[in-house]
Amino acid sequence: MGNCYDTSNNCLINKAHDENIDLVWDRYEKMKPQCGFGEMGICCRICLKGPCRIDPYGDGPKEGICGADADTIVARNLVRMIASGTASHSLHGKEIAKTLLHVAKGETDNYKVKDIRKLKNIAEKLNIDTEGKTINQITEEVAMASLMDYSRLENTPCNWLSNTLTKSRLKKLTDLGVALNNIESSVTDIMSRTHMGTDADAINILLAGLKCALGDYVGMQISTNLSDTLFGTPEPIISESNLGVINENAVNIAVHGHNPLLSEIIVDVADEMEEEAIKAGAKDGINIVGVCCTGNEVLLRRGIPLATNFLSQELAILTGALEAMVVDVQCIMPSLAKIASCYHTELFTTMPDAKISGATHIELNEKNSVENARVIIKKAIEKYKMRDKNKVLIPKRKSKVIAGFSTESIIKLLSKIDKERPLKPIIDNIVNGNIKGVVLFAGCNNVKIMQDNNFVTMAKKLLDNNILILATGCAAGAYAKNELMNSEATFKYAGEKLKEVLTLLGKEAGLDVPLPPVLHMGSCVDNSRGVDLAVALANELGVDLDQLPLVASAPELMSEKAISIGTWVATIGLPVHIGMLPPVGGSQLTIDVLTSKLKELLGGYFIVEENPIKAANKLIGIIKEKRVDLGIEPTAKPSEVV
Amino acid sequence: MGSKFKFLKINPKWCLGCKNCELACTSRKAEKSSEYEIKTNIYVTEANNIKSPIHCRHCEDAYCEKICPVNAIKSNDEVVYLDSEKCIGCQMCEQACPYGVISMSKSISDNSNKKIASKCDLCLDRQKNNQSPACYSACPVKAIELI
Repeated sequence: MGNCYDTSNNCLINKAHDENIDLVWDRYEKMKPQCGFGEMGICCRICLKGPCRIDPYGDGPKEGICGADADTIVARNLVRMIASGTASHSLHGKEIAKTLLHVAKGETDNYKVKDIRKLKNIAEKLNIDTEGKTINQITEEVAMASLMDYSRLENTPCNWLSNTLTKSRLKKLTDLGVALNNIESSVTDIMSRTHMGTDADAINILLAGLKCALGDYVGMQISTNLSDTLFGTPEPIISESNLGVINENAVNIAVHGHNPLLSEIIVDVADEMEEEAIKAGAKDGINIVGVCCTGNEVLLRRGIPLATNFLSQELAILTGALEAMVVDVQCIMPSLAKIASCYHTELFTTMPDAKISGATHIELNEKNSVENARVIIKKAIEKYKMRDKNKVLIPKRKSKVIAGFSTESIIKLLSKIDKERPLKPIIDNIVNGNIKGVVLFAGCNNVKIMQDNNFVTMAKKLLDNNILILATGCAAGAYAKNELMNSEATFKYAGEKLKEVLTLLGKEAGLDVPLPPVLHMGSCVDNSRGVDLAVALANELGVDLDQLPLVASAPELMSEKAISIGTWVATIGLPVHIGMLPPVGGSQLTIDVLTSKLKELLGGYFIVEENPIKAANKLIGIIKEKRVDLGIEPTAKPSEVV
Repeated sequence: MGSKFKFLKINPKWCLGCKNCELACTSRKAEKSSEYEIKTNIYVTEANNIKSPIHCRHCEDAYCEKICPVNAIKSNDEVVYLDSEKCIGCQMCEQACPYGVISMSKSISDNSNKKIASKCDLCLDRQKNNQSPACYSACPVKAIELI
């Protein structure tokens, strides 16, 4: 098995071996075998009587020293992962909400409201009266209504929960007691109830996990919507992807992590300092490239090329042509500092809560962000002069990408066909079967799976079956890099009927070519865009989310954030495929709850399938089943499905 | 077997790869020696998704014993053991072992380049005190048996 689906990366992996540099794949090999207790989730390190481990075979201990059994231990460990994922995504949203508040109060000059229409739409969505109010007043109220979701004392659901789902879904969540009122208290609740000697009922623990995962959802809605307000709502934009976007004749700066508050400023400041770079000998000036979700954020809004997604982040430095890597938060491998030290590359950390030893820390906060971004870029220009030309190796391959499919831009596009009911064309095409259904791909890369292989293999199969694909996060990165986000991909992979629809839409959009068959909706916090579209469709059809022919998939999941996303996606009613079993194998009860009981309660559930072809077939089966239930797939019987 | 000592037998079906056996082996050695770097004599490996510890089989007609030029490796009561005082660090035993479970430990007590072999002695000192080998005692799923 190769390390990456895209073989153009191999030259850099070989280069690393020649230079005795360990990459993520080497460290994984050294880590093997990995502890089976951890893999099954039956190791408990919650108190100092432990660590305790449950013997999954029979002869050894069946309960920990306190008496907690495997179900309790697995459920506790799982919900702690959810809490961490929720904390990460929601803190991202909180930073942006705070910035928006400071903009409203005139406390920062470095940011402003860029998309006033979006601001007003949000105000309307959150039931904020805008009549006679100034933009600053509306901004402040939107920011406060969002921040309220982190601190509400009353038991009413979060603003961004109750105003973004279907009414019937909200009722289901309320009836089950999981309609979240306060993101931060849900994280505290998980940490508290999983403390030694508190909640030992696995089902009760898992229900709290669902509630906490909705905090991830709310945090995501806030992140996406308020980022759009500050930096603009994405519109279709053409760019490029893969390591080939690193330009030998430019000062190359990678922005990596998740938060657009920083990368947007870097992009702005780079424009101003172009001349300085040319003077230093870089004839093409400054070339900003993206890595991971920060990369997705600036790709969608600014057309910045995306160099790589998660697993090959180290390879960007191995090109020998990267002057600086500027990182913010999440999914940043600490190994980058060591690898950068083998090259002229300087690694910059920028957030007070995300430092890496060996990196240069230059904090970018609201007050000094522009000034410090200049310092970073100046240093990068200096580093360009130190580049060792003999160590430069940039893979040639790069692919054309059409990105920027926000919900608004999709609806705008559709309204060119039907101004009154913009969703009608899409509904008509779903009903007549030109589009059989939709799969939203999200989540990470995992070193245990050949990078991007599951994404690409599944997409080809699904597209051939006339299923439209939406993608976010590292899934979107995988499709961008591997030529699935351009018009050629539509010709190559889309089924005949899907091709017709995409061609028509491309024409309406004013392009001479079809829309790509995989639509890039943004970073991993932008899964909210997929939900917005699904909710709009469900409302138009008068059904709930679990009735739509819509499935989600994270075939290469890795992070705790992926666990929390998967959990809320199932909670709002969507089937979620995952490409590997999370650490729950030690508890049959937990597996049953996640894969079947959840379906009875909420309509959404997890499907675990490692083989990408089998997984695609299962998703095709589920979509057929949903179509039959909706009465739009007359020929197939549920029993024939799968 | 006629030995008064117990030997290890592995059931890979049970092994979860937690490496507790490796840790127990090195912990025991750390208690005893400070002159040479501590090396485990039991190694958890993985092939074809099967995890299993590999360890010294205390072979009859052991290659390591036969090849040792200074007779530092000897058999007694079916246990193949190393006399580290005699070992000259030539690495012949390391190369001869068909299971790859003999490794070399560098001296840490001075700046010399001296190395000696490191191999399983079945925790004879523990066994003589009616204790089991450290790896066996540490295995939480009894993938290691004593025979």
